[in-house]
Amino acid sequence: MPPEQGGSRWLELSIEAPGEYAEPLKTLFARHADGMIAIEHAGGYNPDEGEEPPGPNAPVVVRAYLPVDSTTQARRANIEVGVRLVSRLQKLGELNIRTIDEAEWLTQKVDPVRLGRRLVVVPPGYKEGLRPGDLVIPLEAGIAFGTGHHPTTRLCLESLEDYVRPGMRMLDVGCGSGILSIAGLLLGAREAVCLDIEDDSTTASARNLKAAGVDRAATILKGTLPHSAAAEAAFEIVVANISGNVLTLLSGELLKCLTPDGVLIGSGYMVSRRAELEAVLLSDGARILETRIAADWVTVIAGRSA
Amino acid sequence: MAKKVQAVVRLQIPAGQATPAPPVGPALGQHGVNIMSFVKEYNERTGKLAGSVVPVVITIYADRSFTFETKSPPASDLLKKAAKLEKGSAMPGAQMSGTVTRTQIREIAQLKLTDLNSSSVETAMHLIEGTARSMGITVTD
Repeated sequence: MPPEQGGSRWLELSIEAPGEYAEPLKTLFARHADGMIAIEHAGGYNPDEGEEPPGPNAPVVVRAYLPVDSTTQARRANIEVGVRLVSRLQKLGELNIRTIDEAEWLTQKVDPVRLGRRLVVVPPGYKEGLRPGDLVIPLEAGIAFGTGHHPTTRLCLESLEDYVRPGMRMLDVGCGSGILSIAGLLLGAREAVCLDIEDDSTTASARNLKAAGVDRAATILKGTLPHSAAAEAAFEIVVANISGNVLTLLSGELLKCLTPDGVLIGSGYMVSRRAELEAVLLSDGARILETRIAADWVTVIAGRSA
Repeated sequence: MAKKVQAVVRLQIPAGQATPAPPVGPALGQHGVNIMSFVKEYNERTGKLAGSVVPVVITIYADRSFTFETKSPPASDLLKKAAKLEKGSAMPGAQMSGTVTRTQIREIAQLKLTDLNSSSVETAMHLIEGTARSMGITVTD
């Protein structure tokens, strides 16, 4: 569900305790929160300047997340009893309890980022530092993947800048936030077909493509390949920034959608699995044009073998 | 530019199955971390361990960037899998819930060796056997 519509609600229980009590509290919280816990250690130090993290008994915050449903009160009561027992051994902070809505963490602001030669991702309404000729992608992050900050997205955007030519048709499989289709259309593609299996992603893509003013050239659909809207040999550009395993699974279908001279930009594989991805693509009839690497991630650019 | 650590967050997430739901979303979102980037990275790195719970330590920097390190699954998780149990005994000692062999203990000890900070597999085996006993799991030769 998109954040603006209000999402699921949770009860967050948190308590500050000496580091040596993190494990007992973790066990207590995990037992009654089905493992949905987090332990947070304070920061404030800079390892690059020789500053050390706090010692092992420095205070930590232990958090548990309980779904708001018919079991919440019983779970909360059990945790409160456990905390009272631990408090007899060691003075603890107060057990803080608050209701949180998923919109709190799913509504995230995108930091502006410049990618390739002309692409700039900004939060909606942001104008600072833009230059003439910039292709501006206004984006709300939300739950859908793709803000331009992750290496796989960056590699895809830089590749699109190099391979998209005016008038091309583009297929975006696993469109996420819609960032790649927006970039392709701003770079001159005449049409983009955007597919994603997640409702959150198709909703985010629709919102972001509209904010970028390119929604009329886009068709956003829920689903994956094969798909009736993605005909064989119909796209000069096919881009897929998805999980490595899905990329392998769809390799043949992705290649089928390419025109004879079309280009597949496949991203989402870790460098350690590069050979595996290339082998699958080759066995499915690909011709590897180039491979790009950023951090631990690899993007393969391929065409169809003759 | 040198980066200041804002917080270090420890979570336990099923391998390859991180989602923006709790604990990931609220624990990281409050520090401004791009949640979906973490989800993608975690799932790609741990996908091959499907079926295990993988502890992860996430270091969040003041500029909202992050790095993370995965640890070996908890000993209790590995012991339950080895003994084919859903959970440990409610009364360890008085009521035993399952059995593992010493060979299985050794395999778990080898997997956990670096995270246990043990100097030898034998020392790690003693620690794992202790965990097994506390869960009501009998160790056999």
